[in-house]
Amino acid sequence: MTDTLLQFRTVTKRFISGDSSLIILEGIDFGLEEGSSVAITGKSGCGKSTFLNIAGALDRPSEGSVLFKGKDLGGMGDRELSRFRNRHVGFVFQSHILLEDFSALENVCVPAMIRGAMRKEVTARATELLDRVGLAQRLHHKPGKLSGGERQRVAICRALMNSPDLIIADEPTGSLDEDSSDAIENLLFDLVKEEGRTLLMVTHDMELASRCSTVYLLHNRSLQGIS
Amino acid sequence: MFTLHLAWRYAFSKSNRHRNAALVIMTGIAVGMLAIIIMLSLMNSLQEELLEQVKSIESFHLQVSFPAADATSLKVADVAGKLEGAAHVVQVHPYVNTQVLVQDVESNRYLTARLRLVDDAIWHSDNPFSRQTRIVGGTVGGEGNVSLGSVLALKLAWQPGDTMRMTILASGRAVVLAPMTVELKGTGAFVSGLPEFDESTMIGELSPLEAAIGPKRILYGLYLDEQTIDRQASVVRDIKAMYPTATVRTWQQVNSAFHSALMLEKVLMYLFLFFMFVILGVNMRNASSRLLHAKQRELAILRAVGSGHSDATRILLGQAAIVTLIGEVIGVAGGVLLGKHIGRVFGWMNSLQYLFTRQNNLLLSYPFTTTIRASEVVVIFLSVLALSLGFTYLGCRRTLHKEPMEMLYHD
Repeated sequence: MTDTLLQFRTVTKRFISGDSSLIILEGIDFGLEEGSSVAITGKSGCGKSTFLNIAGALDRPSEGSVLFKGKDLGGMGDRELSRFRNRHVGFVFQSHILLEDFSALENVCVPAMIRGAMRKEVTARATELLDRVGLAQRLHHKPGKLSGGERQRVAICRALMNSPDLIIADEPTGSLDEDSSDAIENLLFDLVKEEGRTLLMVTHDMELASRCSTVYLLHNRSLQGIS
Repeated sequence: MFTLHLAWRYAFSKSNRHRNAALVIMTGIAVGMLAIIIMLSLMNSLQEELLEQVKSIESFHLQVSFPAADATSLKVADVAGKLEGAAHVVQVHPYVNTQVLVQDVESNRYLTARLRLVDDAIWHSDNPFSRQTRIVGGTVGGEGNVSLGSVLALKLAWQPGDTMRMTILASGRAVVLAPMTVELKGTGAFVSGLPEFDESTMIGELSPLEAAIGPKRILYGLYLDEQTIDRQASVVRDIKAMYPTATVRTWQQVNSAFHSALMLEKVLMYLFLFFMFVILGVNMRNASSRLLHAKQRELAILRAVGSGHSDATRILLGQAAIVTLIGEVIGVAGGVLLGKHIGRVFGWMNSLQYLFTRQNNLLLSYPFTTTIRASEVVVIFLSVLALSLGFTYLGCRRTLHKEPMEMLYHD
């Protein structure tokens, strides 16, 4: 029997702008088993990214609660939440967001440096990860000197750096061409499998979604299981 | 350590957007510091110069006088000798200030003026008066001679050697004061640096007129050593112990109106500096907002990978401290350098103006000096640093209040 890693309990998210209120997610109940891979699909603007952000504690639900290994994220203060994001979650954003002033190696090292790990160990692990994604020759290149695919590979390495329980990927291939997309998809799934991580992903791409063990459709502010 | 490392990297970011924000802030702080230091040091110097002239030329450092009943029984030379023996007293000059009607017999011009009768030693010994005063025509001192302030000399159309006929109020037989006419030879003209003094004062020898003027009006001007000039309490106590009936007045008391005006000017100067500070503060607030805005995306990334409020705040405070310190060091160095060569710089500016207008600028021609006080520079330095860190901290609180994704969307 597998344990529930992440659980949504009647989560509602609404954005308030002036007098009007826009409900994005409404009463969502969702459970993510440890070691599984789940894809969320849906139309643009349906709230997929908001769902992921709440799952990764980058945003808070308006109502309901999110539990990680049974612990309510809503009850955590900033320090605890930061620690949670640092130790338990790895993010891969659509636009491969990297720190522009830092090299590929430094970008990958950042989560571990925040954790307070020893520099030598951190550098060795980051170098190994970058080597595994084929960027051994690009360690000291800044993001500006890397292609879109290379930057996304750096982002994946950064997400895996602290060996988090959960990898959250928001349209990881959304801004890449077809060849790069295929390579990144393979890389992401291989690494997640090798490292034994749980994957929660948002994508428009049904082919990519079908590689996950479970696929959900986010429609009319609620989740519907597809497979 | 990691936060410091990030702060250092951000301060010297190679990204155009970040680098420009940091450069603008650094330049603003440097220029602001430079302007404040120059303003403060110029004003300090002008005030010091005026105070120095006033106490050296006009009033001496201490002034001793006696009530009429005692003055008649005291011998001027004895009193001067005894006062000169007091601790911290460097020189004593008996003198009288009296209003006169003066006529330059040769040019036949009249004016009312002040005649200061003082011993010749005031010209020929090393003292604050002789150091401050320049002889600009003829010779000074000598019995039967009188020297004129340069402006007064011009007004009387004086030429060296002219006969100066003066009507003085001297001690009378039937009345307390009676007019008396004396003729002295106008042998020299001087510039003291105090325009009022040069416009109204003549200086002659005391001894020939001492008897006619009378002992009651004689004052004793004392010059003190450097350490005691502004803190004369112990000297005043010693003199009062020697002569209990004597009235001892410090240069601050003699020039109380002028001194108060200078103090008021100093208050206004600080008010002016305060407004400069406010302007600098507003600029720094805007600049720190700009810096934070430029860093918003990076902050969101850092928070997404586990950096907390306190880490992010430390990074930004570290960056602000580095940028501010560099700006301040440049500003202080520039301020000190410019302050030391302000006369030369104004000279160049004057030459430049002359090149275009064929006219000298009186203000730029003035021999400005600056007095840079380390304590004031330190206070300004720390205040600017505190302002910068304060505004950055407030900005951080505002920015980090948002959820990480909100910061990314904002970008």
